[in-house]
Amino acid sequence: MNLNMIIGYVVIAAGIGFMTYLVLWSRKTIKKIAEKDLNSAREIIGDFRNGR
Amino acid sequence: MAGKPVESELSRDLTLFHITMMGLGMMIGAGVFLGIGNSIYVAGPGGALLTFLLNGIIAMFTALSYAELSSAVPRAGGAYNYARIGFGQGTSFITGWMEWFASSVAGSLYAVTFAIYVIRYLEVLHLLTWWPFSIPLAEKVLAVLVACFFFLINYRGAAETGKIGAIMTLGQTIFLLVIGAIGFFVAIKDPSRFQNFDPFLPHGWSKLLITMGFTYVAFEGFEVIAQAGDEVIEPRKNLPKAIIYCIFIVTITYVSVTFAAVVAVKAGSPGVTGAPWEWIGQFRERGFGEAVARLLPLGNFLLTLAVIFASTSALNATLYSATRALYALGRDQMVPSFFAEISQKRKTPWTALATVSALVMTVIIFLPVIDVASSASMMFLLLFFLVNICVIKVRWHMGDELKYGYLMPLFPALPIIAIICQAVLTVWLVHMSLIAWIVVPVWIVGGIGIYRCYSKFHFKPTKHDIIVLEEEEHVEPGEYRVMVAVANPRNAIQMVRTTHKLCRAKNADVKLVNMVRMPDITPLNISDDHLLEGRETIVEAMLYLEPFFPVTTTISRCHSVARGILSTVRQKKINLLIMGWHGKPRTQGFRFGSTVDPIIERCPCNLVILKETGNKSFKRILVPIAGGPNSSFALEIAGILLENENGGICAFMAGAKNRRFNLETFIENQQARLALKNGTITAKTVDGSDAVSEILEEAKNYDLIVMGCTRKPSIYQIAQESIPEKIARMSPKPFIMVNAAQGVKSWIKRWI
Repeated sequence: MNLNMIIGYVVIAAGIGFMTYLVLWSRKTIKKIAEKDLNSAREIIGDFRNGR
Repeated sequence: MAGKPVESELSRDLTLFHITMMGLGMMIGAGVFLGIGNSIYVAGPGGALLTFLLNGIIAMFTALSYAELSSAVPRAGGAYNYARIGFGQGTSFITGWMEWFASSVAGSLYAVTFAIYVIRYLEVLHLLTWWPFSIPLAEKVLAVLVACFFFLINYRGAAETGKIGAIMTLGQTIFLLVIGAIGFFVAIKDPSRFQNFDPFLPHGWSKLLITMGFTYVAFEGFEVIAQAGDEVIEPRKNLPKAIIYCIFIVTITYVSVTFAAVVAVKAGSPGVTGAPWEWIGQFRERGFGEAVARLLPLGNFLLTLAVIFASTSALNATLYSATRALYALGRDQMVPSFFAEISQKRKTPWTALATVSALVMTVIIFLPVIDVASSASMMFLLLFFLVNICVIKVRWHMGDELKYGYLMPLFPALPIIAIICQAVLTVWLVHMSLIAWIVVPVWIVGGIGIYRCYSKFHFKPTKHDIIVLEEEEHVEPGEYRVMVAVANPRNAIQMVRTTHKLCRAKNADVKLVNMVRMPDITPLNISDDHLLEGRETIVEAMLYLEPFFPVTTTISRCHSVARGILSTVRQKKINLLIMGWHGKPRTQGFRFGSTVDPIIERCPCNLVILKETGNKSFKRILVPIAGGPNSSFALEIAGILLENENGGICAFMAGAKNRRFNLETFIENQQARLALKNGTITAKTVDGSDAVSEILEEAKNYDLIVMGCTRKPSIYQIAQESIPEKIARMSPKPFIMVNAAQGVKSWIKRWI
């Protein structure tokens, strides 16, 4: 195993992990916005920050 | 009901599953089958894996932008609508024009790919002996026939389109994932296969840019989901979900089949010479097929079937995408409204569909598809580039008006990264096809010509446009321009005295604007009923100001007063904006109000906000100081408004103990800068912990408070009230809040 291979596998694992995180986070966000019937960007960001 | 016109609309019956399959179908087209072998040849086995993964990440960033925009603007048209809202009619027309072209010619590529694989398979089975003409002609005829078939499928309607496409896409996706799974199974059973990845990057990391460029076409297609906005059930939830799922599924699929292709070939097995990756790479476009043939029994046959499924589902989806793009242009009368006609029976945009199908067939018959398809790739990259800019601009300017079903994370870092990567890939495409670098500019220039000659005179304003009802611009603009936003006659009178003093000090030209706010449901292009109301508002202010200053006036109708004011500030290159504030406490996530907050956040020029200043004179002015550029501007305004030479300004610093700021030096510099008499500004510091209470206590002895806005990003201010906000709300005295233009930041705000 050389350095390129190690870096490559790390990048692949990290990349897939990051994409998985984005998908799960997005699903959760969509659900939350729909449940709370939030509207504008300001309202949504305010809700997320306040944890209402 | 008699005589009432009957409106036609697209039917809403596409589910999350349908639109996800539609996006997958357009993405998993011919690109991956041609791209894997080439990627292995150019970048090596590890490079091929990284190519599809990194392209997937970049595509995911753009997909998040599409997801956010589609949740807020769930209408047919996709990127065309986003560009319309973000930049206006000109850019939106070019976007729709590019989208239509890119999707149409991509469709012709898929039709030809289908024809090639079918004809070749028929040849192998000796079923074409009756054909009297050449094989290329047979391919063209079959390609035209399959395009006709999908024209009929799309004409029949959205549900039919969705169902057939979904079945085909499900089949090919499952097949590819099975290949990936078998590859993993084989590698686990025979761990020596992992050695096929050594060397991981035989030609180095730099080759990745080339492979990423020509395989990016495999990630185009999810934008078709955004175009289905008018036909999707629960669009605000389902559109963003479908877009994000698509990219994720496709990336996992591509990475796993690439892995399977590399491990499919055992080193030293019969017929394999050299390293497995070199053996696969020598076949270039067919490399994936050759590898899969060694992985599965009947691999070649199964792969041919998969390509047939992939190309037909991609053709189906691209016909849909191009049709909706042209329909949106016709709906908004950017092109003749003939293209927006809906079939009463089928509820499909049949004229747009017929036009697109005709273009697809023309390209199949007459043009070399490969180079034109490269042009389509470049168009898609430029489209995605625009969409990533749009998501920033739309959230920045209209985030308070739109109803979002999704907001992307790490904003605006992700779209900015996507913009940079897409720009690099666009430039690198020149290494693949020089013709693309000729066709794309020609097509875009042609679109600009059509816009200038036809579209700009015929477009239908949408609910997001700002309509100017009346504008009088009879003076040459001077060096310093002040704009005064008046909401009603009472508000105008209250601001006049202060405005007079500020304008006299700056020797300014004055622009009076009145924005007439219309409810969201009301179109802006109705009669001019509000013109009289606007004139009444402005004339009061004009009576006082016109004898002294060059005054121009504008009355506009809009859905958002803040956006209307900011738009005018940019267009007229205003140096100072003056407006009033009613003084009521924060509501619904706003600090000062739904008009004032966006203006404080986005105003690209100096800003002065007046609360209850009336027509009073101010002999003693308190200026709380924090030390930043707003403090300097606050002192400047205070100096202008100070009533007489015996009056004074107090620069007041509360909570001074913990600050590294020399108030005395600051005042000396400001007095010199503002050419004020020595002693006009005095300093006072208080070391207490509660700055708000100290300022309010001190303010009892003064006529006016002038204070700078906080410089903290608004995201922090949503959660916690700032000191200026508290003072503004609690102080019974007249209050002026100021915000100074910020150099580069203001320059950016003027353009974005």
